[in-house]
Amino acid sequence: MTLKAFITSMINYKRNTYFANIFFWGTVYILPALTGIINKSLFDFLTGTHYNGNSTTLLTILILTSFVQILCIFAGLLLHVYQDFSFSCLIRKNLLISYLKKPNVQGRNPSVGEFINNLQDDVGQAVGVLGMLQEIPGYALFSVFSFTILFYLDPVITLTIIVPLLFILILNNYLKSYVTSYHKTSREKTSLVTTFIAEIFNSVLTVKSLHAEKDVTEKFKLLGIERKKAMIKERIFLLIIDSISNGTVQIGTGLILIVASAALAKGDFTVGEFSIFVYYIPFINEFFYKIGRYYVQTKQAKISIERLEQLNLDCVSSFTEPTPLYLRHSFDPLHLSFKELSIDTLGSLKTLELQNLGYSFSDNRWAIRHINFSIEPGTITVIVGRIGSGKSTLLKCVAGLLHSTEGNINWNGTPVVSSALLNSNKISYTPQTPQFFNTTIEENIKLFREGPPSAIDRALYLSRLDSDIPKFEQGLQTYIGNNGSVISGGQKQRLAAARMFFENTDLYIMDDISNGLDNQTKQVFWSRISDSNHTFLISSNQKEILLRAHQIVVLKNGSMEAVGQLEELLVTSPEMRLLWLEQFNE
Amino acid sequence: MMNKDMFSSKIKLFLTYIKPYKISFSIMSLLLLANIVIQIIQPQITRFIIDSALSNQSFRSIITAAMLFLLIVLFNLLINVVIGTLAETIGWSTTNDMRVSLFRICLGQDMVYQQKRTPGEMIERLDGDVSTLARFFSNLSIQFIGNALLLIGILSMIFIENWLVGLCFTCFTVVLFAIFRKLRSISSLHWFNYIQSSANFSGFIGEAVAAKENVTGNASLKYIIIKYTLLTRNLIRNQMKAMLMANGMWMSNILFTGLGTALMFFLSLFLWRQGATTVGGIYLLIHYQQMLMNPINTLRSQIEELQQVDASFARLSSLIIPSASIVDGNRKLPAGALDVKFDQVDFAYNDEKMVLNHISFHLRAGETLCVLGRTGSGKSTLSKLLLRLYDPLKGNIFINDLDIGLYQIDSIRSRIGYFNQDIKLFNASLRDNITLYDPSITDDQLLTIIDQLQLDSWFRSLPHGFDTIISQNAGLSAGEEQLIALARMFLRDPGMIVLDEATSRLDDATEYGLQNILKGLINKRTAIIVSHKLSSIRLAKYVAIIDNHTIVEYGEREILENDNKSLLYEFIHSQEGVTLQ
Repeated sequence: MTLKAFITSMINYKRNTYFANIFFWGTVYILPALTGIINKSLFDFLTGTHYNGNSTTLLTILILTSFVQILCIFAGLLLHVYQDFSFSCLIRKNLLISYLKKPNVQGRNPSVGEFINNLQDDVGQAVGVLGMLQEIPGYALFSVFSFTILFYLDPVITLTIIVPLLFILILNNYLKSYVTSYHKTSREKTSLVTTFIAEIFNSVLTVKSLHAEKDVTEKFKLLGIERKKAMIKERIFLLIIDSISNGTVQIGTGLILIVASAALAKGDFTVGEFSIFVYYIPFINEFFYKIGRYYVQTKQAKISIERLEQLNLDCVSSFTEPTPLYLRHSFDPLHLSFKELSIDTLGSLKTLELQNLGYSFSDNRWAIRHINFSIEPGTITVIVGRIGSGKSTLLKCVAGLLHSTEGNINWNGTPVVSSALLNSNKISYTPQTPQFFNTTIEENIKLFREGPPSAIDRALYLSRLDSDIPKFEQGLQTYIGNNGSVISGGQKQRLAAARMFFENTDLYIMDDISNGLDNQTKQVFWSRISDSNHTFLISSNQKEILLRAHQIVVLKNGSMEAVGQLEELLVTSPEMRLLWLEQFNE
Repeated sequence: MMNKDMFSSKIKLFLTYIKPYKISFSIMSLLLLANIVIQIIQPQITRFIIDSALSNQSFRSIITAAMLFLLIVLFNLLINVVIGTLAETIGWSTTNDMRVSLFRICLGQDMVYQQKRTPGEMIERLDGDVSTLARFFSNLSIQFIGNALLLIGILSMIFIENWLVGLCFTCFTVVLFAIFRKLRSISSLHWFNYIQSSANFSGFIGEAVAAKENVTGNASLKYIIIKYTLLTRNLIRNQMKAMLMANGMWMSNILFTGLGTALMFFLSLFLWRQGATTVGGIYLLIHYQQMLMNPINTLRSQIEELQQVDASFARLSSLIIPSASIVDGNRKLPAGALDVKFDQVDFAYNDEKMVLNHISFHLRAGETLCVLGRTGSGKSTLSKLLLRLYDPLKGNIFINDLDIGLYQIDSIRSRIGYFNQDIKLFNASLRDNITLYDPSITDDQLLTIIDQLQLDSWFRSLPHGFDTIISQNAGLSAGEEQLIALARMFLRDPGMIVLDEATSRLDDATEYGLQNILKGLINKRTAIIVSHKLSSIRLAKYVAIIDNHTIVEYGEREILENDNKSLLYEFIHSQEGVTLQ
């Protein structure tokens, strides 16, 4: 997306607010022009030249100007905050939703820290340009107006101001490519630091128990030094550009002072005229200076927009696509339909067929290949295999989290793409290592989904969490802490299952879910699942579920060795026999 | 509401961090002073030019004055570049120093502390707040003083020109700052709320991103959209309030600029009529009056920044203070296997329900204990106490007959290897993932461990050997993650090992493959195995069964196994019952 396209779509999104903003800020910037004229009139009055009017009028206008300015600032501020907030809120929301909706693509998934960093800084940078752009008309009007007055007073002196200013414009244009590359480096180094913070504080227990605090801190220090180097390089470069711009302007003022004072001495020039020159010049300079800064800022924003675009995994719609944000209007989540939610294209499950399914990593190693089997409603299918045999990959392909490299997944006989699977409400999935929100147990299960009161009981029953809830003083209202740190490992597994069972879906996919459970809990868990008459696709080697499976798929090194029921597989599949026997070989 | 303690602790912090850079800092201060003097002198030259021109003085002296003006301007420009460079360097150096030491402090805090904080919040604190604070120390503080000096300088010059005008404008400035002060005390509360809701928002974004794989379909999406909307609605309200309050100062400033200009015009006219001043003098006064607004304006925006500094400082202080719960000892653990004793240990998280009740056992050097119990029975907490991630509420833990509190925490954690099911991998090379950034470990050492873990064939399949980048979501299986975690532990050669449900995420077949490796690890070391798997029980000499947060059975495995009234007997046979079906 080009910068122009970005700006246009943002302005279109909040057109009225945007132009009202330009109006108010324009007024704020143009009013000082009046002060300059009043300044001149005062000196004209003192030296007794060109004066018409009295001093009371001058003072009244002066004070009135300030009041108008304040009112405009008040209105402008409210609009500006609202506008900037809406823009960044929209972009962040779109990016977040596109991230959640899209199947993972190898090598394109940002880490959590990186994602937060991009959402913070790059969105800020990109949106900042829009605010800056709004200042330009006010400044430009002021400059044109004051330039006309000055030109009318003395064309020669006025033109001498323009020359150094043009020099600044050319300089900025020449240096902007450097600015871009310096900025890119410093942003990257910053992102390394923040990503590291997120990663380490996500793994404190690991770091502590391995007593690696010292080395980790050293590494953090190194990253900081790298960042500092890049940052100082960028800042000092900008500082020098600024100083050259500033210096040119100051030299211009000095030159004018020399020429004007000569004219002053000869009487060709009044003190009033002199004062208005000295008053206006800094404002005009500031305009040109702002244009220079604007160049730099647009360059930086271009990089940010590029990065945001890379973050946008949704290639169909752009991250500036308007969606309702409910910032001002009342918001009642229960009675709203969200158009951001995907349309479920799948019908109720009659049969699910995997046809020659394969998935390869980015380095062309096949994780799974030539997978063929089908699932009937109301049955339990269990994937068995050793570690690294591709069980998790297979489940993720069926859940739509991974985009399969070859073969088809046929839902009721029709091939479907991974995003349709991922965004379908007919499929629920629980990963090996579940993640939670820092809120209550109930909210983590319900996730604001509607459902009869019995739904939560059913979810607690099927996940065998029903016996745990009374143990918490707050019951369902217990806060589970950052990523469920307050509850035990086994409870996390079952909370994830409860979250899945809250909704009645056509296919439940569970990746090795009950391994953290004690024997007694495990027995009850699996028996409730097999009695529930739902359709399951489960990866597990546990005997409790193998004994209850309608169909077992044996994976070995990513290939399917056999498919069938336990008794026949124990005869026909050597891998199944090994896996089964090893469990009782102790 | 400037708290005196907070002020003095800020000064203390400032001195600590600025000390290493005191020379650059003094040079910067001196240059800033020169810069102020030049700004004050400049209008005097202009005044001289005007008065000379109007009184038909020699053209030559006017040109000399103008040249002097030009020279001073250029000199000032140079000074500005040097000041800027110094400020950036000092700023980034202090920021980094502060960030690293906070990082160290936060990482050193106990687990109760860590659980309350999301990684997103830590980024806000360690990156955002530290930058604000360090920038204040290195840059803003001196700029602030500089601007205050400039303000005083300008007022003095007006006084010298005419005492009456000087008096008027001093009063004017005092009133203005009184108003700022009032506005500031109102707005700091709004700032605090704003920053807090902004941190909540970032924390949520982190969770939302991590939630991707967890609930597919529209369920999590709808939740995230609703939560996002609720949080942003709250955020914009707080932001608007904070912004309006903060900019109240700017608005009053604009008003006062207008009033100030009017006042100066009025006074000039009055003086002119009295014949007390020249045209050049009036020019000078008006110029100074307009100049006066510059430091006032800058001071105003710096006061706004000070609010953020206050808020950042308060938040960073709250990040450091509540540690205290775990006090470090000074003894070192000796080499070799350790002797561990629990004596009537009670424990509860965050003053809630008891998790452990009267736990007592004694494990001599080289012995192995298996702790059995239901999920949530509190058995995982045992190991966390042993690592001093938490301290017992009552009772004592002894290592080699001395209370655990007497040992250095560093020493405990390097001598006790802890291994649990929650394995975290970093987005870094395989080498960094095993060594956890310890640069002193050689590739040969790593290769030996790869060999011991029988990982050689997997290792050979990696495209860049130890430099291969791996990460949490890079497609490693649970077993591979487990082996990397084991490699971390092998590298540290501990004297005691705690396996906390270490193999629970593994399927039985893979776990079986790991048995020999684990046996080798446990050999000649004291070990506690928290597990509910038969395979793990068979590794232990003693068995403790925990139920309802207390030990209900303890004894030698071989005796209990054959005693048909024991809980262990019941447990083993209930497991085998499944096989017999």
